[in-house]
Amino acid sequence: MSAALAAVPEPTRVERILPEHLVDGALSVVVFGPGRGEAVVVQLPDGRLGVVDGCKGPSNPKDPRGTGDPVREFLHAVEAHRGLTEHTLELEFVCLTHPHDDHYAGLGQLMSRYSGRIRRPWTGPHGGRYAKALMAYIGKTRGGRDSLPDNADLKGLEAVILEFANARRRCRLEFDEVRRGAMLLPPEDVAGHPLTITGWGPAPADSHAALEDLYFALTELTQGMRPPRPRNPNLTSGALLVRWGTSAVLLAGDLLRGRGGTVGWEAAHGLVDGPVQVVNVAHHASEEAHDEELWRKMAPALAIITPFKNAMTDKRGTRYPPRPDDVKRLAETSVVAITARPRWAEGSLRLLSGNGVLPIQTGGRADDIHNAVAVSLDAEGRVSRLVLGGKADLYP
Amino acid sequence: MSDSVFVKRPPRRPRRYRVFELPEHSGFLHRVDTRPQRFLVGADEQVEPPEDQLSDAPVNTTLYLGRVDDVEDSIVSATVWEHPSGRQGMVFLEIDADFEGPEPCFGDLLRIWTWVELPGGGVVTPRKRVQVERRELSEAERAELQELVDRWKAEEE
Repeated sequence: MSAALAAVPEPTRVERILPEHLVDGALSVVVFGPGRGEAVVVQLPDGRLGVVDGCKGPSNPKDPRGTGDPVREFLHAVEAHRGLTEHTLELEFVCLTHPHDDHYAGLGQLMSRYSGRIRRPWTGPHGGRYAKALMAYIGKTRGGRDSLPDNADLKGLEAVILEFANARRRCRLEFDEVRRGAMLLPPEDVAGHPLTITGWGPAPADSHAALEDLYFALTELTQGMRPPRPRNPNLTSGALLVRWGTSAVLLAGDLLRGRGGTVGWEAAHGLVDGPVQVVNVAHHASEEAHDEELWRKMAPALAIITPFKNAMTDKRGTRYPPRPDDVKRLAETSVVAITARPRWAEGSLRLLSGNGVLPIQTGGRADDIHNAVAVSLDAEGRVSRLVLGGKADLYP
Repeated sequence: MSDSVFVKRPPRRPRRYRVFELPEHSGFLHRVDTRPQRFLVGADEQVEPPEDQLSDAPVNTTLYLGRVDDVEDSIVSATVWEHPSGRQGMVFLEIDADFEGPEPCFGDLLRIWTWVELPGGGVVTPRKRVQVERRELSEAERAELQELVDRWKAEEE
């Protein structure tokens, strides 16, 4: 722990992370965790930008400046900071790691706004076919489908799929599939050091099995069988490693440890070829996503956690990540930055039920959208700046 | 005789409402009207709990519409939205204690009424009723789904 502490500078605390808080010429990531999703903006050392996932959609999606969406607000601030005309900023890549609404919901609007200005669209398994099949499954199993907000969430996934298809047709872009070993950004020299982005997950075998499972479930539906719960999309979540010189940042998505015949993180063991200084921890730091051997090999100085929207307790203890033990375990070897305090750290739960009969646990609040952690690294693997935005803090 | 002129016009959508601009290209989903932030949830739903569930007059009734997210070890987790505000939350229910009839499964719609009854003597009895609605596919939908799966599988090959 002491070595990790020494490797991470004293954090700067701000209300909202802005482009000027990132170090020019460094590799930077801004991890947004507003308590209703997760998104990451990557700023490459030469200034190019990429986006991995989108938080939950903004409350006013048609606002051209993206007010209410932390990613679009940040990108708009980048345009202003660089003196660019509005709507001219280009994105080097946009990546959807997996089709869960806390990762895709805001991405469709973002891709629509940046249509024609995205150079590399990266999708999850099977070029989006998995997401399409999942959407068909969910759409056909939902009782009382009209007029519920989760239909709008599903509409958000449809929007992302549509935007990927549009990128292919309008701009003649082939989108790359995020999987273990995929060279998403081929090696190039940036400021005298090699820069690459590679896929660390999912294992191709897991992707194939997940799609086969979905096809099987859909076929069962057509035969009038009781709908089984679909395989968890986290098992095939994409994970990216950004490496520049000896600096490395792992954006782990929600990829889980292998179980029940799946490979999971085990597939990444052989990919570790040096320390990974910063890790955006997989699946909100859940125990199910923690691979101890991989963690020891990476030896990260800084672990960034975005708490799940309902990280809280139920009758059987804390059910949604991060659980207190999960965070404690990471803090034994790394400095831990959390984008917001988990629900279990906030004391008693709020009851929404007016008559007090039904305990209802609430998710994130709109005023949390600027909860984020930004970190900049030089090419020698040193963390040169750490910025905590909104309610983000170090643990404990 | 009045000289007023009444002109019938088609109803206009209030400006605060938003409609997704996506065309109905996939056929998977119904068109969904939304408005900034919260939905108006369950406007056509019956707010009073079912008559056969009442022992005394229901007081302080609240209705939630919910979606089953997961069923694990007899615990059902569901996302719920309060009627009519659309405030969202999450609940955990027990299959044995909270449900009657067939067990809920992934995707089912839940109607959850909660209320209290005051039988007298200062006693307050909390009451809860959970109703499950499952989606049954029509023959046409099954055929459509099978066609989709067959097409995707063929494209794979």
